[in-house]
Amino acid sequence: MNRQAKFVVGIALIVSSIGLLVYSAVDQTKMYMVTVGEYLTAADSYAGTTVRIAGRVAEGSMEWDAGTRDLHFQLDDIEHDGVVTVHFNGLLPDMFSEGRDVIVEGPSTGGEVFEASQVLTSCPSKYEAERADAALEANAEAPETAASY
Amino acid sequence: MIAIGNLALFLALLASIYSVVASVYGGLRRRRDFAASGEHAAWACWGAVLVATAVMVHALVTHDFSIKYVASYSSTTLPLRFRVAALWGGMEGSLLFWVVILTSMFAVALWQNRERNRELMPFVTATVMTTTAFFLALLAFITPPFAQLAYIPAEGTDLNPLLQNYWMQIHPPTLYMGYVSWTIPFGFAIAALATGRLDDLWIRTTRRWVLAAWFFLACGNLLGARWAYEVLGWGGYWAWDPVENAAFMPLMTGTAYLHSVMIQERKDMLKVWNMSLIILTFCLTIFGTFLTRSGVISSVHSFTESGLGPFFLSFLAVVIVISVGLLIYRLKDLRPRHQLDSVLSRESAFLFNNLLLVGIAFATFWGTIFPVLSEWVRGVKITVGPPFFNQVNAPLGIGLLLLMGIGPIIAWRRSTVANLARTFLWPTVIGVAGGVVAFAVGVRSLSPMLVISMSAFVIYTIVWEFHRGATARRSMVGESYGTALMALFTKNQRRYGGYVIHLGVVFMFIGVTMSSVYRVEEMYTVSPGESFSIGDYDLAYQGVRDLSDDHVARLAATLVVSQNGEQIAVLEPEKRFYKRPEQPATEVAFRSTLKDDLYVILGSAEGEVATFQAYINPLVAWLWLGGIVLMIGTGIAIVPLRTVRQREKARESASARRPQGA
Repeated sequence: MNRQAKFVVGIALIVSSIGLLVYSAVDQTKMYMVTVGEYLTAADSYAGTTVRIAGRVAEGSMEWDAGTRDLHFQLDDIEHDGVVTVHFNGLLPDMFSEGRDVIVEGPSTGGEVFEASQVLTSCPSKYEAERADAALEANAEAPETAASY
Repeated sequence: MIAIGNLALFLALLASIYSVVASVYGGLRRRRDFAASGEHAAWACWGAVLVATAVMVHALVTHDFSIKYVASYSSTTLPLRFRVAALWGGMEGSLLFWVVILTSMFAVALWQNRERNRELMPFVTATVMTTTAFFLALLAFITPPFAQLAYIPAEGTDLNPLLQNYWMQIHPPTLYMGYVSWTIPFGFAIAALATGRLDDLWIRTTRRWVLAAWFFLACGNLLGARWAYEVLGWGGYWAWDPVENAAFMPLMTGTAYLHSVMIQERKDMLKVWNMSLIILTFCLTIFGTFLTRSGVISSVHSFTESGLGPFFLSFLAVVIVISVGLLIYRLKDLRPRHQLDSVLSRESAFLFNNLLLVGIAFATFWGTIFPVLSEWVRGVKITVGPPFFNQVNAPLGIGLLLLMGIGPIIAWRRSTVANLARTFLWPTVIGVAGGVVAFAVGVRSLSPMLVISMSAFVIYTIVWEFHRGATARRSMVGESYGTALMALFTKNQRRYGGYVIHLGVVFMFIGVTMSSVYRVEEMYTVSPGESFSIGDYDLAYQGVRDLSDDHVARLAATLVVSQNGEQIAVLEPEKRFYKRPEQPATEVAFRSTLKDDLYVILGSAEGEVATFQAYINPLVAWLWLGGIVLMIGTGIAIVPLRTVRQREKARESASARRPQGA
């Protein structure tokens, strides 16, 4: 084999193993991002994988036991397209409360209760623009004093 | 004042557009007057941008709440240093800040090259000014920084409290400089393609710029990691968040470029590859800016969602089309004069290092945009988390570590099996010994064992290189060993500075590997007077104090830490809740040693009963230590220790040594 061919083979080997590495890692670590409704209609097809379900904490459903750090709640679809019962053990996530949009992550087992390994409260920065504007309005002096232009 | 700011922005935009047109015309027609006019316009653009920035900073400092930006990102109670930092705290200000850095850097480049590189400069000016014009157009038409409110609020909404800390003052500016400085070498690369001056002139001219850009980008990443570790309080320092990835990818391709360019300088090979790398790195810096500002991918770093996405993508498309077009046009002139001689050579070690670095960048890119891709292609939203990035990048990183040991000591051109055996005998013995020691102290999993073994291998080769250099000087020049060792740094800054950087990177590998594989995490709910243990630390919980004031509700817990029965520290983690805007925050407490960090978060406190999350992060201090070593190494490589005359002389003798033609 001449030396240029050796390089071609070497490079091809490295490039294809990187490709293989990426491919298999995607396969092993992928998580489906779904809404509660989507999860309920196709729970079987997600069996054995990790899913992230987005929804809203149903009013009156939150039970938090500070001693055992067990959190139980109902995750409602934002369009009211179904409800999933969720259990999580760990620190009560910051900003977690009823009526709030959250994402739960965990293995899709198809069981009665979704065992979440993580509960993510949606990032407040997304709403920052709206909130900032509202706050500015609240801070504004009487509109007529500012009507100079 | 607002009128001055707006006027300055529009003038800057006009100046940048004129500069592009005049420079391209001057460059193509070889009209010196037009080229000079283009440069003058670039100076004018810089001046106007400075004025606009000064107006914004003045407004922030003097609480001019009639400007929406000022009212949104500052308040009357915000300390001066954060009012200044608010310049990069929001979308509009950060774009303005971007432009002021870019034009200032270009002013430096213009000054440096006022009598040099006359042939290249018109196209450098055109490239940099095109980028400037793009950002200025966004500022002028899409996200006007001086937009006014219809009423003047009495108080601003303030800077996000999470940003009100020391790191906000240094991390964003450093990272922005890291992003922006790649524009200068990119400009020279495009100029080389446009003029056909494809020898190593542009590479020599931008050598120090590239090192500076790399330095700022590396520091920006490190400072961000440190910020996350100290302030954000989830026990780690890197989460493979899309925006972290955005800063990480150009660092990888930039590192690849730093290495492969040495092959071009020495061997006149890999020209197309180097051009591609610099184009890729520049595109990734623009892509990174796009990611943070488009809202395409959600992330903790995101600015509020905006309509900027399509503009960034269009600009990126234009950059790619022009650069790749020029590259193809010059392809035949970029043919190498030499070929690689052997797979067992330093050249090929560099080549493989490049493939791995670009591989890491690619894998990171793929993982970052995967949710978007899968939604487009299959209509399902699939995401990959940190496990994906760790799983892919760990083996590639270990490969890099191995090459870091091989590269500096393997022979150029070709090695025979016999001299390979001679060169690598001792480093291999030391590497194996390192692995055995790791096993003896209880390391059982594969990747940490490999990392320790290879780290020992790399450290030995670096020390040996220094020793060899010093001994050679001692016998040739007759200096003492110590003087000879110091002289190495001044005589070949880039090489020995590079070795110091490698040493820092090895420390970082050790810190990252051990702190992620052997991290211990526990949760405890305790009442005052109770204790808990993690690792060999005993923590006695004394109680919780309320430190609230008007701005923030604060609860601080007191933990007395002892080790082997001896009190060693008092940790006071806090839970905070800011009132304006409403935002919870964690104030981490940790005690750092070279062996491990004890890291404690106050999870919640209900009455006197508190829940703590405690971590032992082994050897994590080595990551930060490695970062400092890396900075010192880059300093050694970059600071002009020798006078211009000495450098010219060195260059002449170097080119006399190099075989011409071949």
